[in-house]
Amino acid sequence: MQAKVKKHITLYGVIKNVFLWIFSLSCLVPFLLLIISSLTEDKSIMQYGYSFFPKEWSLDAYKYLLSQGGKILHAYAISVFVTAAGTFLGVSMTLMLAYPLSRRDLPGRNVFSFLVLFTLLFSGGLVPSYIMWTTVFHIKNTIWALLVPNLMVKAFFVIMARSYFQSGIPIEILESARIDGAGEVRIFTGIVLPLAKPLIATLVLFIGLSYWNDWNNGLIYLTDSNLYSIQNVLNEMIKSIQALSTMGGIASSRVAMPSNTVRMAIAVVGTLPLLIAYPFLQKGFIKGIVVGGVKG
Amino acid sequence: MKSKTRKKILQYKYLYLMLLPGLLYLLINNYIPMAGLVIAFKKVNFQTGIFKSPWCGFDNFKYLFHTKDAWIITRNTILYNLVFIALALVVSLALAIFLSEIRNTKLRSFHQACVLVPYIISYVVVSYLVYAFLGSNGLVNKGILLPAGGRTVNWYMESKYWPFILVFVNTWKNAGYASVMYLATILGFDDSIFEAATLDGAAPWQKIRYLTLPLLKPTVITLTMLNIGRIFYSDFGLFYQVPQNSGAILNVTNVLDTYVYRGLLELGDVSMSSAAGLYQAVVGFAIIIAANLIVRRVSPEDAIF
Amino acid sequence: MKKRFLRKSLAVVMAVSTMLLACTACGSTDQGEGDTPVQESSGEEASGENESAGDMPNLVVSYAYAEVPADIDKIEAALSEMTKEKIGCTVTLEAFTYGNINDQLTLILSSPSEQLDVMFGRFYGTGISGYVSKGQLTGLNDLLDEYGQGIKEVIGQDYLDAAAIDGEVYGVTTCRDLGAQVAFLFRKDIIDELGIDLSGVRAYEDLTPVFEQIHEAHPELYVTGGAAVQPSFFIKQFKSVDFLADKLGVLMDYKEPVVSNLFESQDFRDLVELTTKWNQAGYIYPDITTDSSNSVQMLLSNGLAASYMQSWKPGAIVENQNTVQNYELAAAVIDEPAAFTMSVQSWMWTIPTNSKYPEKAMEFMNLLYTDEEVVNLLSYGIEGEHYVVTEDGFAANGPQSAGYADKAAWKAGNAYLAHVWEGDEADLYEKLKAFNDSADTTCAMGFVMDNSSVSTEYTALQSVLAQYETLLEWGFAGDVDATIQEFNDALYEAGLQAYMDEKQRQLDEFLGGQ
Repeated sequence: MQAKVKKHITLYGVIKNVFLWIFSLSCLVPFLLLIISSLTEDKSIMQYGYSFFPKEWSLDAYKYLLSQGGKILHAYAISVFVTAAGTFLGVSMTLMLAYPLSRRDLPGRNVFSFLVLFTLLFSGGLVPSYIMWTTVFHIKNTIWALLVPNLMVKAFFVIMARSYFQSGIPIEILESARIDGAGEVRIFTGIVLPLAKPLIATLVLFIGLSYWNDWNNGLIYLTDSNLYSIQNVLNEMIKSIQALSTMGGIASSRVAMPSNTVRMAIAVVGTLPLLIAYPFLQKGFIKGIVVGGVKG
Repeated sequence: MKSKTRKKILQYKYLYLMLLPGLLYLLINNYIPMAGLVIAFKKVNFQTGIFKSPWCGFDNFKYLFHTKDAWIITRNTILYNLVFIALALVVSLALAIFLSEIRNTKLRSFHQACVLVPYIISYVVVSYLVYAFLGSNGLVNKGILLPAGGRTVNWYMESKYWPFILVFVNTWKNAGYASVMYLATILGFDDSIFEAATLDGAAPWQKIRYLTLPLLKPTVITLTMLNIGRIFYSDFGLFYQVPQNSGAILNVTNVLDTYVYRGLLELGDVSMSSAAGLYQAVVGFAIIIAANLIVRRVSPEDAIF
Repeated sequence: MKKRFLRKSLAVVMAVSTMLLACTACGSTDQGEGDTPVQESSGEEASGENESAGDMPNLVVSYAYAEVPADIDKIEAALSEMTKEKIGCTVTLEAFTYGNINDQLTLILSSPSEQLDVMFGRFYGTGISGYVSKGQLTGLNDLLDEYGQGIKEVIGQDYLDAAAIDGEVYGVTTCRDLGAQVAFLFRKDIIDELGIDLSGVRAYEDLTPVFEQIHEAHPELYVTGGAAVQPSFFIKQFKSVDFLADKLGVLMDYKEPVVSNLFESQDFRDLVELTTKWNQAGYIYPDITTDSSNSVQMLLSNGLAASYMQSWKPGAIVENQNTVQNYELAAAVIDEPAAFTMSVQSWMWTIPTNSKYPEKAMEFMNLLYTDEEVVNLLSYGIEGEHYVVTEDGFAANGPQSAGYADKAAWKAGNAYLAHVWEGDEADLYEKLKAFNDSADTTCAMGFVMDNSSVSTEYTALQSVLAQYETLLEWGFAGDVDATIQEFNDALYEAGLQAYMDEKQRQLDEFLGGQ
């Protein structure tokens, strides 16, 4: 395929590349600003505003984070564990739920689909969920609090996966497998999943991101800061700054609040692992090798 | 007849078993707390318990309608969401198609990682970044407008700019994320059709128009319908934190979620907030049912249920 | 066909939820029925506690910090040792931060079976009325009579009544600045350099010449970075106005129980004209209402602003000095101190209905107001470790000071029992007492409106406030009269009159009942 593309520049090629580069850069530049400002002397941000070429560089923010060493590393470990475990469970459950729903021959499929879709729209709200998780399941101040509520199976991803199975996996393949005598489980693990590699990569990415980025569960179900994830640590800093500034003198304390640069540094520290992990995920995004192969 | 059904169910028993963990999770996580929705119709007293508190009909919903702002808020919420949905669709489709055509894996990885970066940054930090650009001391004023001899603009006080800023930020933050799903779908396509088309001398535009887009249709319809179902919801971070809760631009940044947040911030009334949630859900539900009916008529195989 | 399907699906959803509803309802009835509801339902937890401390009850106590101290477990253990001996119970400290305390307490109070015996909570703006009408706080009258004599002596009936509804006390304020006053804190080096005498400043108008001088001498600085309580101008007090918690219907003169609209008043108009003048002269930080990432203290510390507005009390300069780096501060104090309901109710010790042991809880609270050891422990940490006592009797940083960095006494009940922190004036507590005594008291002391009957108006009014208030207060409105007019029109359209009428009615009733 590659050889057949002519080397000369086409209008389409120009538009395509310009669009991609503009979009990529517009995403990258603010992130660069984030990194640079985390490396800037706090005072020069305040006085001259944010800048790509700061007057004074400084590692103070990262030194501060290092001085908090134990806390940050601990939060990191929690985040990594929760993301890994949650993603594994979430992706498996989502795939197992979505595949049968994609089978048009499954009796009751529509009812189940509806039950799933319904949860996308209606929720009981925070208070009832809180009461249930804390009084029935006692997850408060346990690692389950970060793992279980809300994040594991989301209707959106289930329906997305179902639609992928429906359009991405030809029924003929399933049928021929069945004629060969393969059972449902065998078909799912042996044929469907290998065909769904891009989908699995997507789900790992999406569910992993929602675990990594989540601070809400920690805010609601944790009072023990030993269980805080990295996002909870960042969020707590930001919220305390805002609370202090809206409370004024009455709640004065002798603790100096972390500066702008520290907050930026934590944001950087919170995103870097994802950028490092991302290339590994890329392996899933490889052009559909198998589909043509089976057919041919 | 009965035994036939039973046989059929037995035949699918493994598929049903596969459904089980996910459904069980949704049952616990989503359905049980729904019982708590009664709170929206109660004048709640926690000492006597949620279920024993007296009913109060639709009193908790009144604040959503009986206000002169209701119209502005509803208009903002729906218009922004329509623009978001349409624009995100176009941009993320374009991204996905273009990305899928890059054959240099390293370059594709690079672009793909770039477009995803905004999604990873939380809205609080995004609001700092936007402020870094638009603040009175910010990059736009100091770096562009002043050197170019222009006058500085007090961005957070001028409501005419904000519809564009919000649409831009939203697209910037979410398009990359949304493109991943389309990309995954495109990568699942059968290559041979495309090769055949290339051999027949089809131009890139034509391939997109006659092959890629039609093949993507089911995914597009599904994702769009899911988005439309959430048309009454809005991202609190985008509408509250990014505009820094600035009063001067409130008429273009006030949406249902921020209205409810401001109103209930100090009241802390769980009944009223769950009434708002229920209102959003019912509207979304009605819209999604209607959309699904239309889809069923036009292309039955793409209906969600 | 389609219709039938939809109906079937809905029927399934209904059936499932009703079933679950029934289950949860049964579950919650045994929590809701008796007067000692929680004892049985969380028996499991109780038995766990019994193992750890014999037959002693364990109190769960909420407390707030700027950030949760590293050595919180040590403090908890030390506190338990003290309470074991003194009142025969152990204590679990639930440490919150100022940032998350409201979110988390709201949830805990909504979940009646979760144990919380003593709650240190923030009621600023809301007061206690909402909590009481939702049945979340325990009435304290009998408990105070029986176990809280020490509290009654220290706080006095007047300030107890400031947190009472229909004669029943629901919360106990702490010994801190209960009078409200406002000051502008300036960079002392500039004031000295320009030879400005701040003692002559008694009102906001008097600030104009000061601002002008600073602006002339230091055009690179914004004269003021705003108020420490961002972004409103009205941080606590404004002339003789009692904001009645929400500024929607106020007493223009806190001696006269007449509810009126602050934003229509001449005083408000004068203020807006003044700040507009300041703003147009370039004195005010232009991002004052929209900069959420920098506190005013940070603006001043980093050489961006020369002053900020802060609530005033004896010791305020030393206290602010803790959060301001690089510069010393000088104060221009405005108006006279006055005590309002909100200054008393903003932070209080309460006993939620979640409490398993209300009597023990009151005994514990009594300790907070009578026991020096407990107060010092909660304020400064463990003696010899987190703090040391100097020869002159001041408390100062100890060897492991960072483990309990939040050295603030105002939270721990009777702060007057704590050592004075090194650097504060030795007679700080006498001055604070004198300050509170000198504060004039509003005629509506103890009144907090229950706005549940006008919540529709209230929520609509909040949006209007968000749109106009801070903008006007900091002088960003180009045309003062037109914008004030627009603001008031919007307020009345959102139902301000109905809201004020209801407030007046409740106030009359409150005053009549006294």
